[in-house]
Amino acid sequence: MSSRPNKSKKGSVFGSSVFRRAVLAAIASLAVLLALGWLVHSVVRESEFDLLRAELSDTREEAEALVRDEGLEALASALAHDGRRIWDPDDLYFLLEEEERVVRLLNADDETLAGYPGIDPPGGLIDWYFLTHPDLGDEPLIVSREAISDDYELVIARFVPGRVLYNDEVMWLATLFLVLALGPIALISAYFTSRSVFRRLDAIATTTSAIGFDRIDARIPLSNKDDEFDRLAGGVNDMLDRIEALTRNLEGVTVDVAHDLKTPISNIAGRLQLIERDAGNPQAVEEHAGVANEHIGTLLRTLDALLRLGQIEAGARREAFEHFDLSELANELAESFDPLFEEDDKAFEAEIPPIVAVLGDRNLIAQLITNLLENTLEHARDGAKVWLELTAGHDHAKLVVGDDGPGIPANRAQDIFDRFVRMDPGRTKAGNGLGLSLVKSIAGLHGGTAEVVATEPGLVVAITLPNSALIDV
Amino acid sequence: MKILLVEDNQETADFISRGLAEAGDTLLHVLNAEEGMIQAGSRAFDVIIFDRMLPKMDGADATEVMRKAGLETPILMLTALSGIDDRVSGLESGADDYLVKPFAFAELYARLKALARRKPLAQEAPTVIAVGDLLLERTTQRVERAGQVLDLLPREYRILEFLMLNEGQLVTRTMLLDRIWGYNFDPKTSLVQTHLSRLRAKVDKPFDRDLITTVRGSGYVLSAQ
Repeated sequence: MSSRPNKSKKGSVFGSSVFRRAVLAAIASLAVLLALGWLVHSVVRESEFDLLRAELSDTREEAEALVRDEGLEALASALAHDGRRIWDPDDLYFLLEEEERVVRLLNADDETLAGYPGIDPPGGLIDWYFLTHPDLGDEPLIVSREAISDDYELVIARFVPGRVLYNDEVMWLATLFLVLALGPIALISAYFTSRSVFRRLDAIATTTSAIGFDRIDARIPLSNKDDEFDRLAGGVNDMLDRIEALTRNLEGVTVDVAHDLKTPISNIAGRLQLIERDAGNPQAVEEHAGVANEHIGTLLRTLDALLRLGQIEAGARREAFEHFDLSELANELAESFDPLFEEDDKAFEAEIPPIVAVLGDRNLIAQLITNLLENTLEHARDGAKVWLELTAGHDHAKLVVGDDGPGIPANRAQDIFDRFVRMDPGRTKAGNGLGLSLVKSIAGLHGGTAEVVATEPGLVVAITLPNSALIDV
Repeated sequence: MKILLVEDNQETADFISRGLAEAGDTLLHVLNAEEGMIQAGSRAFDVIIFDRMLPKMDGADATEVMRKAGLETPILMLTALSGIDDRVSGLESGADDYLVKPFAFAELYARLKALARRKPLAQEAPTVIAVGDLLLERTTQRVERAGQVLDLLPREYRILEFLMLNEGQLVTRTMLLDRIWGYNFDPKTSLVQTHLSRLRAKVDKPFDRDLITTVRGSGYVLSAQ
């Protein structure tokens, strides 16, 4: 089995999908350009031919009028050139220059009465008729051949102007060039447009596949352009930071859980051995059993706290939220804990206005406040001043629990909410290091925050809970 | 007491039946919810212990069925679950109390006693409770001992009332946390102990004889003897 299932080979811009799309886009735009060129060209040429057709029909009307008024003979003599009714090929050369017009009057037997005999188109109007001339070669004409009286036909032709021919030539050359150059142009423009996109995406792909392999600390480099790629990369990096933190935390937590469970279990095992040894001494057995029970209690409390953390962080309890009187709850807890602080030689003060309600789980908030107070009870120095304050902001309630010593090192302020974190390195004091994690989880479940607002002289923790309301009194 | 135990785990059942036998109570043990419901229907028991996790049928569902059928016997639910919502759903199904495994036998027994006594007490609803020379008037919340009025805080009054309602019986720390504080979590501090010692300073200290005694590791008993 491959150890790198997702590790793709170093990508090439030519194989990328963005390049293929850019090629197609370039081809499509060139094709559109060409089609547009031909469209314009054909419109222009059609208007040129309309002009020529109008001139042909004008000439015909003049000829018809002449025949009607003065007879066929008059037309025949009017068509004479240089006194000759029948033109010879040299005349044509001149006429082409001067009048841009060739005519032929002929009878039913195809005999030419006047004009140039060398022109013999089929009947009707023809846009492109090629007249073969000994000197000029093939000349394109627009030509009409129609009856002018019962037995006579008149052929009128005009040379297609040189500019029309020129335009045609240019169009065909351009088309030929574009068709031949289409591939290379599309490839080159696609390369340049797709290169930067490809590079940015490739950087993301390279980083993510590195993470997929083994390097969770890899991050996507940002370009500082603050464009959509930077936003994507930034988002992915943020996600990775969070995943990495969670992973590291989980690794740490696993070790800590093992440690915290192993200690009481070892103690229980030790006591069981002592019970075996002292089987004959009921008093000693009772004492060992009592100690073992206490350790089991510790173990169960740790497991219970872990289960609660898991449930709270899964967020399942939010449906059961309801508005309750936070002031009343805080007062009740303050009153409950007051004797404990007194016994512990600490001066406890609570400042709780009577009108604050929040949306939440009363039992969990009770646990939150309890855990904060217990933390102070455990860690504040003897004779310390301890306070619980509740204040109401315009849309949130704020709970502050603080003491005036000994506090914690400032650089550890963020750590106190982590699982199994204890500020005494020897882990000698009671507690499982889950109390403040629960506080943060419960605050988080309610959409609020738990923050350390002071680390000296004593620790002060502030909890904000949104969705508060003032109770009408 | 006559007790019905519905429990599929043999070890837990042995643990409970041994304890109850020592205390001199009568126990009927059945292994599944169906049989438990049939036996409960005889209404011959003072308390029913119903395991939550039974094969085929959830103990909470069985309780709900029995309550709908009009059974009034107090039910204590046992469970290995300790999730925050399990307790609520257990009690909502109609159980009267809820205990998480593992538990101390003393804890279970104290709760069984409290449950077995609750019914007649509720029916009589005594307005005055007397234990020895201690007198508690429930309408006025007046407490006096040997004719001397005791000045109690509201919480101290509620603790004393609960102890007196369970006169002569063990009241455990967890029972007090449940009933007086409404906590479904176990605070690590000596919350209950501190309040009890304050209460005792008012109820017992000024007098010759102590009414409240501590049962080490378990809880408290209030008794005139």
